Amino acid sequence: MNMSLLRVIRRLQSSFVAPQRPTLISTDAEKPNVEGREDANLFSFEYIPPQVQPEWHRNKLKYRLERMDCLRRRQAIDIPEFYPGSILAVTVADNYAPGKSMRFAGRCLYKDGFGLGCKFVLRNVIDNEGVEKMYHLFAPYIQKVELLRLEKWIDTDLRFLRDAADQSICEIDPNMQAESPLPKTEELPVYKGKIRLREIAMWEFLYHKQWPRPYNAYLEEHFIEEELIEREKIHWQTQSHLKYDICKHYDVTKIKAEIMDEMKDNRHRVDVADKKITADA
Amino acid sequence: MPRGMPHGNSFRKFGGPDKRLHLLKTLVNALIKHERLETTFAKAYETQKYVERLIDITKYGKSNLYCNDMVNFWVPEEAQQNKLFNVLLPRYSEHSRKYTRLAVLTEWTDKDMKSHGKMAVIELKGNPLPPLPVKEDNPHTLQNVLLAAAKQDWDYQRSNVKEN
Repeated sequence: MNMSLLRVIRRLQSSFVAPQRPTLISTDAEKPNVEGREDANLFSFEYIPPQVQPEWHRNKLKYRLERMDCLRRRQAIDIPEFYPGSILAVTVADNYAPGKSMRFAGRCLYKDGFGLGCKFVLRNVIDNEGVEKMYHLFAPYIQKVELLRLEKWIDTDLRFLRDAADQSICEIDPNMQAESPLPKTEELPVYKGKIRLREIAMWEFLYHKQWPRPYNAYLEEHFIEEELIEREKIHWQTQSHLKYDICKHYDVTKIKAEIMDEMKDNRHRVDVADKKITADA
Repeated sequence: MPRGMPHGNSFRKFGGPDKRLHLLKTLVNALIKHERLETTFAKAYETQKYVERLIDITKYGKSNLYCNDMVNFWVPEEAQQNKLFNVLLPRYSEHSRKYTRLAVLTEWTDKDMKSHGKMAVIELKGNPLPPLPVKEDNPHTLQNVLLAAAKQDWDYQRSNVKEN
């Protein structure tokens, strides 16, 4: 090869310094989860112990063991966060079904219970027929829980949807595509719309007399104002013996902080109990 | 979710839910005003629960919505509300749970008066009235001496932790 060419190449090689490969690091700090939507390993709706009126009947060891069992199940299957009002699809193992499993999609009406006994009810309207199915959240025969749409309503008890005038709220296509939910670092917008109900003579339950009074349903239009006596009107609007009975209210703020502290240690406790690690680690 | 049966219900009925709340409201207001009441044992036992719960709620502060709602229902008069927030709250800021004392009176031996039933006296702790002749524990027994020393240690530790 030509000597001048070689010299040029060597000079370029010696003076050439490769630039540093740019690393993409996000400059914003990691945002913490919003207060209502914590990580399921730290806090969830079913970790709150049930209300016990004579306080000395509580057994904290029992509650802690149940929370550890919930943690074990959550390691095996991914249970997404959802609220009453959101649309879910659940696949369940069934020996006598074709393909050995059965899938049901529906809107969650309510979520109730503590620990492994946490149940939720899905409602779907198939061929003009309302169908409801109750599932245990931590049941071992549940193979998959898919979140199709994440919604949060003001009410946590949506059983008035059974008497809705327009039943298309609960009509859910089983082949519906899953919509990606908002990440947990952002606040979820709460649905504040009101739903019309059928005639009051067809109601299964007196929704205007329950406390907490449903916000997401039109109740006033079913009553003629002149016919209601003042005293009755105020009573069924406030249900004062339920709203103002302070000893029967359940104060959860301190309990929530305690549970979150406890759940940080529970992973370690579970591993020790399952003999994956020794207690010294 | 609402339950059908009152399992584990540790409250008395007092003639219906609305009458019960009205009765307890008058008793709670009277306790806050006079700081010592003499009633039947059943009513005193119930007011004890409600007064202690009310004081726990006022500890959240006046700006809390829930606190405001409850205090406006249970203590409608403004004079008593001011007493609650300005006199009773600072008195019980260090107390953890028990703000009241319930003392049961002796029963009547007279046949005519015996139909009145078990009477009791309920009072708020730290009140300026002369003390009740309630039998208190002997502070010179070994257990009570050790307990008092342990309590002192606990308070000292807590005050240290607060400063740090």
